[in-house]
Amino acid sequence: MANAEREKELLEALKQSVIDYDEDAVVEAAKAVVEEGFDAYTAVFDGLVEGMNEVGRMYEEQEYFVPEMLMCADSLYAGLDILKPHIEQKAGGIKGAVVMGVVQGDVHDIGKNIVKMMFDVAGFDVHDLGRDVPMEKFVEEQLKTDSELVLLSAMMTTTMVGMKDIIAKIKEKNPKVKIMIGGAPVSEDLADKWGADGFAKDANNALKDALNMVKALKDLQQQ
Amino acid sequence: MKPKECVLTAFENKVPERVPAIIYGGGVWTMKHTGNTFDGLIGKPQEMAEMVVKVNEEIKSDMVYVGSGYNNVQLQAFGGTIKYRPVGAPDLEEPLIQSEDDLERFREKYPDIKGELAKDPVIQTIWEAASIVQQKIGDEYLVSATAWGPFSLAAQMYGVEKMMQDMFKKGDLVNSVIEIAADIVYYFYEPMIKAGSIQATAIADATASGDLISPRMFKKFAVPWLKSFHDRIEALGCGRFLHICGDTTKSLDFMPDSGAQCIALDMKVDLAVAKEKIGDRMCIGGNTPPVFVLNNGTAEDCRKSALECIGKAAANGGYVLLPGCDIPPSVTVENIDAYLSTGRNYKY
Repeated sequence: MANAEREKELLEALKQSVIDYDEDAVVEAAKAVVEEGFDAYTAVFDGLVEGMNEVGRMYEEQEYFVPEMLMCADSLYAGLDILKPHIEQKAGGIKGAVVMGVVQGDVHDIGKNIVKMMFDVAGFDVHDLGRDVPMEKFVEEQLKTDSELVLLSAMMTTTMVGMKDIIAKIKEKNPKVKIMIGGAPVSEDLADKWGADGFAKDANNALKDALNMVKALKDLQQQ
Repeated sequence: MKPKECVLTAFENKVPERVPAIIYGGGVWTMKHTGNTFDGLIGKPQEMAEMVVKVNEEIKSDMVYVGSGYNNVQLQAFGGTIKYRPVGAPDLEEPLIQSEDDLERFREKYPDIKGELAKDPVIQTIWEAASIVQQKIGDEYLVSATAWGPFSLAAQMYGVEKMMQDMFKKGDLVNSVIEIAADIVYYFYEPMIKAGSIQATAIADATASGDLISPRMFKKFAVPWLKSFHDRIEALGCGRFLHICGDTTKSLDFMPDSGAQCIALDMKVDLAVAKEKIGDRMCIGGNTPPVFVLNNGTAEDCRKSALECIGKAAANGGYVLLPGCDIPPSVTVENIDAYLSTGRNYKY
């Protein structure tokens, strides 16, 4: 009982410290989880990720903005660094590989980085091509890594139109790949029109979108 | 009234003869439309100027912008490495100032910001091109040049992600970098204004977007520097035009404090709300969706959207019709023409 209470206390500390972007407190709680022999997987998902979920909600409500969220993400990563080596590979969890990047001509990668974080946490193999990525690079990397999912991001009205060709090119080589697009100027309509399988609403919702994407992929895998 | 007078009258929050109708920037679009490249025009002010003049013969924007898309290139004068690419605007490869030490070194190395800018071949090209454009069409059209706002240029110098975090952790350092950025932007414009080459500044504070930073941070880190910059521009008797990206509904009240005469709003802001909130204090511009309507819609959609914007915000003047942000390179001339001519034909 005391043990369960202590675990609850640590999970709450992890969650709250992510929300408060208190990196030191996250590190302290994560170390305690490891030292006291609690399950690291639970600590990540019921502690760190729960905190990030709350951050996502605050973001939606325009209580937090990008700077706050970046600091929360830093805190989450600090905890993840400590906990990850202690996670036992569980059967049945989401496994998968994803290629992601910001399209050519565009260097706005904050939204992409936040999405990446969630895929990292969820245990995906993330192949991050970074920003200003030429079309061929997406196609090559997908083939090379046999990833199930490709995520394209664009933040500018002047660069987003490049997504259309990338989607066509990837689908041409490998029709089974799922492609999701996101970024401020992109819309659900466009995703449909350009043949993408999914759409992430906007930079503001990057985190929520990432969670949805992970969930969508889970559903896909269960089909 | 000449096109230029329509815009400047609206900027003064007065009633022009008709609705002024303009695009914002358009650098990437113009390059694609004319088959030019950003690096290809460096050192060729005559060609750059002719490009701007020729394109405006087609689209007839009441306001034209010299050097649109070159905003990041200003940092080349301060040791920045610029990457040119086949698609899109040139970018800075690596940040310039990320610590107190960097700041110290920067100040020692570049004590004369004005002088450094004057030595740069790209800046020289833009300055000369602006003068030529002014001679050719400046009597009819409002000639301007584009630049980032102090906050956004500083974010380029600092690295956007890092600056966003350091706004909390190292506010003084961030402010010092924004101060330098504000000087760079000012001294980019000053010679053009003094030479009579441009009659308005056109600042885009893209990183101060309502989607990125909170109204509190906007007020603390963006507004004061916009204000001091625009005050210096006003002292030169020059027009002042500002665009901020994203949903700035909650920051609308700060816009008149920016010192700009006109705020061009993103498509995410309701023009009617903006008109009601700040319309008595400054001119409002906007805000047709650049992608959903101008790029993907028909000419009729563009006309409809123009009339909708006009219906929301044009009453009693102090309004400029323009897209909610820069236009994608694939927008057709037909759509731009349908859009802008709807504004031009709307008489007061």
